[in-house]
Amino acid sequence: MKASRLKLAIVLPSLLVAACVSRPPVEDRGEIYVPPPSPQSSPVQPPVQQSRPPEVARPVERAPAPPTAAAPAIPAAARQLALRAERASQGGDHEAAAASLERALRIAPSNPVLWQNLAVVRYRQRDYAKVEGLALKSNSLAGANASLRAENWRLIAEVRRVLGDRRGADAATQEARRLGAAARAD
Amino acid sequence: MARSTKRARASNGWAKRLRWLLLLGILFALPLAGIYGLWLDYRVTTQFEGKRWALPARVYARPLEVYEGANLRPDNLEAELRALDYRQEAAGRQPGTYMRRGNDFRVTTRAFQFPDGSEPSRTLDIGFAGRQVSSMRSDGNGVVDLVRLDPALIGSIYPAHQEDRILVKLEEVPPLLVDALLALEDRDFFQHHGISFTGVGRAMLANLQAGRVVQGGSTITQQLVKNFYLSSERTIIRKLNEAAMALLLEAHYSKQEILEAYLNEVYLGQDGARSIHGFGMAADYYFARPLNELAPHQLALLAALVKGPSYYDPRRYPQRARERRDLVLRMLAELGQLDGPAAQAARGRSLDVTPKGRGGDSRYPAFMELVKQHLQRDYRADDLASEGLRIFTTLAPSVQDAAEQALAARLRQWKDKELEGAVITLNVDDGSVLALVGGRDPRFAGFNRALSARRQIGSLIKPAVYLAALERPNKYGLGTLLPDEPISLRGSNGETWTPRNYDGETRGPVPLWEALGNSYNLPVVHVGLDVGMRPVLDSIERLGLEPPQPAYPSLFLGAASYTPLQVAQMYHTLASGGFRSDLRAVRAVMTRDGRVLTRYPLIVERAFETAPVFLVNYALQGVVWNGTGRAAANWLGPQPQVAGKTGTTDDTRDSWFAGFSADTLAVVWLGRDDNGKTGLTGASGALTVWSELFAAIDWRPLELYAPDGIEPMWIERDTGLLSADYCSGAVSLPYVRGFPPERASSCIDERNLIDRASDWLKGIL
Repeated sequence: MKASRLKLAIVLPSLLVAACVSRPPVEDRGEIYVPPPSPQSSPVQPPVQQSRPPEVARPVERAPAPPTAAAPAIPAAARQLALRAERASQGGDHEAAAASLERALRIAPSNPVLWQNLAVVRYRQRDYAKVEGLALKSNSLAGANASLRAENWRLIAEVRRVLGDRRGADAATQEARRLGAAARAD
Repeated sequence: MARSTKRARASNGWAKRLRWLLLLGILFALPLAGIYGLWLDYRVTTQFEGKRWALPARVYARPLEVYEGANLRPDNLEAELRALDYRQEAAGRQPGTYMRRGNDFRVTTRAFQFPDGSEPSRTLDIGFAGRQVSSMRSDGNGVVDLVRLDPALIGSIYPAHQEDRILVKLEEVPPLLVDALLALEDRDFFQHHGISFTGVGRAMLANLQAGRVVQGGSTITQQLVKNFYLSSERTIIRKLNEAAMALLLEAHYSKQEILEAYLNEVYLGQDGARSIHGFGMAADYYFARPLNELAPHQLALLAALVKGPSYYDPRRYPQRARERRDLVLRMLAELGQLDGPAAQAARGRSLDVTPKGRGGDSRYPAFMELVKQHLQRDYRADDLASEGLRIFTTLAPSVQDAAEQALAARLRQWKDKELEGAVITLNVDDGSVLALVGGRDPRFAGFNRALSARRQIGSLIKPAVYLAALERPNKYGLGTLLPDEPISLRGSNGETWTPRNYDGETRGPVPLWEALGNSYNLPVVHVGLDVGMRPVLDSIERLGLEPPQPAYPSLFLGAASYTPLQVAQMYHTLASGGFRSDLRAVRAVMTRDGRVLTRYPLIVERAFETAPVFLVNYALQGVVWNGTGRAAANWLGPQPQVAGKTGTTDDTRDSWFAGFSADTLAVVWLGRDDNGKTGLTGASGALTVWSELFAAIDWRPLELYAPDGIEPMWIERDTGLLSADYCSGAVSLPYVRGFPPERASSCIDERNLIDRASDWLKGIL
């Protein structure tokens, strides 16, 4: 258990940077990834863009489905709060970090990276029971962003291990590997 | 002689005994007096230094966050500012003021300390584009990303004796108020040692001249001692005690400390059972503003009230109050503490008090009850009422007002005085309660239907049944045909149960999404029986409801009773895509000096896979688009980006609607307390309240982007078979990837033959 925690300590910083997926060169943005202000430079594509809505046309008697909404840019306000959370977390004040992230989520609730950041903050607080739900929520919004989802599964594997769920941890690790491979193949 | 000597001897003996007694008396009295003095001293110091007042907890609404891109329309910003008692002023540069020109605002916020940091006062120019904030700039400093307004005070939690006060520090008190008080009550305050003989002399002289008591000779120190430590009886002993304690108080503490205590202690009004103490609370009670924002005419009135808060009550006796206020203003001018023109201008002002004292815990009693329930888990009632805690809740004043108005507006239409209702509004993203209405009179702190009325939920249960079915994608998809056929079930008690559709008709096979959209009863019973009771109960439980015990098939039609709050919990799990959160009414509790005691964090747990919940929500959007909820279009326009479900119980005893956008969920219940018939269905009753509410508030449209694992498939409507876009009678429905209907329509086979033929042709070429 100790060893696995150590391993994660190494994994985590890279995890947070990795959250700003696959856009080399990766800037060192510190530990909590802060979503960029505008979509065009956005390493994390907002979920809407990634999971292109399938052309689920409404049944014939309905009007056609609404046109795809433009991907909402992450508001500068949420970005600022994520930055604040990053500073607080680095200073060891995880509660303040969590409070800022919750505020950010009220502004940009469908941003999967913010959910992941909150999961990581809870992990750092050793509040393991809260981690999995937050990471899964992040995944539910991550669309086709395989590397973000892989990171979430790695986090889930880690807390499952800490909480004594070996089999669940292994399953999560496998899922992370599968997605990690998919992300590299992209 | 003998008699006289005898008498002399006797008197001698008396004198002797008297001397003895005196000596004895002094011997005992001295230490007794000393002990008494020490005891007084002990009382004076311990009470003054210890916690002086039991302070009620302050309960705050959620603060409004303003940022570029925020979904907020100008009128709702103004409503929020008014809820905070911001004043509209030409300049809008004083904290707590704003200016509106069309859709452009200038707002100067108040500084405020939140559990997670302080917000400074800022002057902002805020612009709107439609229903969104389009720009926010601070004075001279360019773009501001994010601003949090101070939160509205929505109530207090009082100790039993209901003394209400807002503590102020001496340096926060406008000097003019202190000047006025000293001029009125104690001109020698900074010279005397607790008792003022010149003060007494001046008072006597004034009283003699007037022929009645017009001035008291008590110093401010004595008044404080009287209020602080002593009963109000008028005896010489008490007067002596008062004088002694005043001297002791002065010996121990500085003038500033005594003055500050006095400013916070003094009694200044009565609001029902609640007594208003101190100038901080009085400013709030009479003017609905913080003390440091008051103008001279208002400060003068507060000083004037000290002499007799009920006799000079500005709301009941405005004439008397005004005369005394003007007297104070004239006196301030005479003493040179306010210059002549300013005093004259102030005398020209009206009393300026708000029509009704705000505060107390009466404004949102239903929500306050939820807050208290929530806090009971972690706090003792005593601490809540005495420690001056700051409680940060999730209430959104503009949403609350809209919910109250929507319910009131619709209830007026129906003119049924017995008809009651409840509304709960939630934030989907974090499960926080934005608004709660517990009955037709939202100011009445009585039976709270939102929390306490357990009523049958009828068709609101159906999504739970279909969810259990759609979790089995190998058997059920949105296009699966369900039998809309009569059915009779014999219970263990021998009674038969024969459910019927609301309109009494049967339609033969209907696709699942249409059966849910139109809330047909027979198909859902068939589905429930097919899936089985256990999975349905499991689905209900995972949605956040306690399943009924024992359960009968009538459960599939909603023969189970829940409160509107519980229904909100259930639909929240759907609205958030299968993630369950405990509903929250409180975000954090902070001490008076800014230490955070408890935070109530955002917790999410996955209760369902994303895919089946998505399918149910898709069908629930169908409810609003062309099912039983289509009347919503009358308020929200055609095909509004929301989803929801109507519910009606036997003979229209309960009218329900639960519906949500991407970020906001509301549950509305209508019915009678005696469980009588209302004549309202879910659609004709609760849905109209819900729609009225959603037309008034700002929400994000529900965009049902398919999650991973869901893809569109063409389904033949009348057969439920796999079809294709070129086939007639095909509808596109979302399906779980890898689980198409088992069999395909013959239309596809024909096309496949042609395709194969063309491939063969290609081979030749």
